Amino acid sequence: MKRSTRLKKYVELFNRNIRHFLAPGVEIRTTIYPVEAEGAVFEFVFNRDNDSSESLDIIRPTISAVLSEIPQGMIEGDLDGVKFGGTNLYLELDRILVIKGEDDQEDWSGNAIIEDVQRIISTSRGGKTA
Amino acid sequence: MSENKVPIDKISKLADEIRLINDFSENHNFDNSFLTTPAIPSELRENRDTPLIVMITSMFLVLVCTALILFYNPVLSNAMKTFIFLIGLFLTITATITAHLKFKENLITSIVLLGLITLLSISAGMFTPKEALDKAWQLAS
Repeated sequence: MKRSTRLKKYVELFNRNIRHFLAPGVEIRTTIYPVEAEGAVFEFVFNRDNDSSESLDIIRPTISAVLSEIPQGMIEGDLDGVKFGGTNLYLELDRILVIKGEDDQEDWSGNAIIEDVQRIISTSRGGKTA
Repeated sequence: MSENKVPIDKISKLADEIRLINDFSENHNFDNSFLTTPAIPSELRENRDTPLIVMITSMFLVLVCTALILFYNPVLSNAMKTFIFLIGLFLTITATITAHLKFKENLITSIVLLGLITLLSISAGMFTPKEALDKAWQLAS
């Protein structure tokens, strides 16, 4: 997914929905990692520095290329053959990685974003699914 | 942090289809102090889209202004017609701004702006519908 309008719309709706769960004074800095192939990666960094900036990174060929270049503790090794489906969430310290594997309309709809936020809240409380 | 990582070779022993990671979620010591409240608020389900609502309302009101100028032409004084026209222009600007906020696409913003201005211009007698169509074709070609 490299359509910046759709990627930014996801961030806008994601922030609008998760805002209800943020502790006072917490803001989210967002980095969007678009890819030539299907899907995209979003990095949401929680902070108390009043930083709610949003940036669009360079377009990389695949999600695996993104994950091999950004700091993440989710998976290591050769990522070339790994494919991502649906919505994968990785919560770590002060940040959340949302890895969208597909470009299907239903994965990017308003309801899907609400579901993503609910899964994040559930996972942050100890829920773990695979 | 590296001890938390799962080597891909290790994962591949666990599942045949390890090369597809689907709807996975994991919490590696996420700092929960960033989040609050146990309940899911009702606003989450509403997901109100303010720019869209304002855009549609403004566009509808521009149509009302257009209708007022067109259908009450003999009744309204020139000052009243000018005033309604100015309200229409203000609403056109509002609709254009909200369309841009909503869609973030220059093409859509331009269509909304030109469309509403054309409507107002026709209602005010600046163009006939035929002239407006001719100009639109000229712009498009």
